Amino acid sequence: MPATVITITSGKGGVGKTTTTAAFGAALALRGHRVCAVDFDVGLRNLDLVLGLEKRVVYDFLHVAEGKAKLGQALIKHKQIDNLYVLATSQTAEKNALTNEGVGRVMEQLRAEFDYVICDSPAGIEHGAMAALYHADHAIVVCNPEVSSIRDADRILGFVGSKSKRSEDGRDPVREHLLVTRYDEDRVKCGEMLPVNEIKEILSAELIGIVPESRSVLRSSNSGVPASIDPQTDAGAAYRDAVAHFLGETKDPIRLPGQAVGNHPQRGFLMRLFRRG
Amino acid sequence: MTYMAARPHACPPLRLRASPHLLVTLEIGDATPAAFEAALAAQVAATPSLFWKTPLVLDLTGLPADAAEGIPDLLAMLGRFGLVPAAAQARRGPVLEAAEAAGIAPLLGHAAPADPAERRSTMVVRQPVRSGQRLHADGTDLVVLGAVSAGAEISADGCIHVYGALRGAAFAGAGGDSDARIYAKNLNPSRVSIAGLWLGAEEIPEAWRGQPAEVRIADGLLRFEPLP
Repeated sequence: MPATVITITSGKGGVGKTTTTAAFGAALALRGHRVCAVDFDVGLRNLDLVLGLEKRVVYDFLHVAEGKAKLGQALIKHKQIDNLYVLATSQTAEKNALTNEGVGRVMEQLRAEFDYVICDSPAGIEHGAMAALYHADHAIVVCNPEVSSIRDADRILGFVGSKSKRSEDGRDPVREHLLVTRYDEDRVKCGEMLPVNEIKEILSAELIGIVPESRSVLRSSNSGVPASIDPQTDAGAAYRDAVAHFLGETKDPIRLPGQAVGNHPQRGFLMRLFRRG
Repeated sequence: MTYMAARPHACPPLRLRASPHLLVTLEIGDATPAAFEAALAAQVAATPSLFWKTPLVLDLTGLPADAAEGIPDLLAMLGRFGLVPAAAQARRGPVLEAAEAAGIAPLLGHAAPADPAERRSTMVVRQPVRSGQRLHADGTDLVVLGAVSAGAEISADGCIHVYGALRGAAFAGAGGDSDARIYAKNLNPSRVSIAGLWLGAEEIPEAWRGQPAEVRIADGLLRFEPLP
């Protein structure tokens, strides 16, 4: 069966797209799916760094798109996670170097090889972001609990609905999911950040997870390990939960950080009671 | 001299040129003949030179269909004041036909829409309207089942119904229909406008924010009414 294409996007920069791409891809691969993470941010290559394989990039997305290298030469296998591959982007090319035809050819090959293709979109609403969206079957919109991030997420959701290959072909629309990242419950309580139900209401998209603002995310990015690899960390658990919700394996309500594994079991239990009441 | 003897390189007898001309447009409201005559007399007395033997475009879009029978009288009255109606535009078919019958041509590009009974079907949008998107329901009503985000713009020549939260800008009666209305389950728009009358977000009374409400024109002002 051809791969499912998931595009991780946001509109706004710095909200955690690349971290999410790495963490989501790793969590899917750890479940035994064959996963390829693709960096669409031409000229601002990051995904290879976050996954700790920057020294092994020889050929990239553009080489394959232009027919200068075979896909197999450009794919980099992750050392710790068996089923996770990365297609890095070019750090030197112009940001508009990706042509629709070139991207289309590469995506076709990736679809045949993998179970999931995860596209890391650049920020903005320009060429690169549109190229990353075009082939999507699912879009995961990453959003921080603050107003400008939410507005940009809304804008990009508009493009998801109208500028995808699925909408051009008249097929079922791209499935839209919402992932809230850098969530800080204390700052929500004192009104500095927006609560999740408000974000959900504004964006009218299906929430698949809430990832807390966490030191473990920064630590894992810096050391080139996907944030989801350790389920004992708050962010790692949240990413794994998000994947379970994405795959439709669980209908449990989305856990708010703070209710995450190990932290405050009593409080978590009470809060669950209250939310059901 | 005969036509046959005309010189071969003379100007052709006919030439068609499309050239834009600046024309004064006279908007005719739905009023009694007496009221209209009084208003016209006052206008002509104020600026006599502007009207004397000047070709005019008659804007009859404000007239209902049953005003058609009054068109010949209206034209006769304009003639008495020295006005020269050259073309007309109207929303209702019968009004435009009456003007045509009296020798006033419909303005190019302003042909009257078909019989209102054969109106276009309502435009229904099932997806949320996102920031940066713009939607227009041409010649009909617009129904949005989801939310209209801040930064989105929706407009309709008819009424607008939003069954989610209306946070963007909404323009009803975009073609000038002042009977058009806006309904929202949660009214929190960045701007509302009906037939060109508009209010910005900050001018909308606080009491109506986030409420289910209807917006319409009454006594020349935008009014808010609660929904039951």
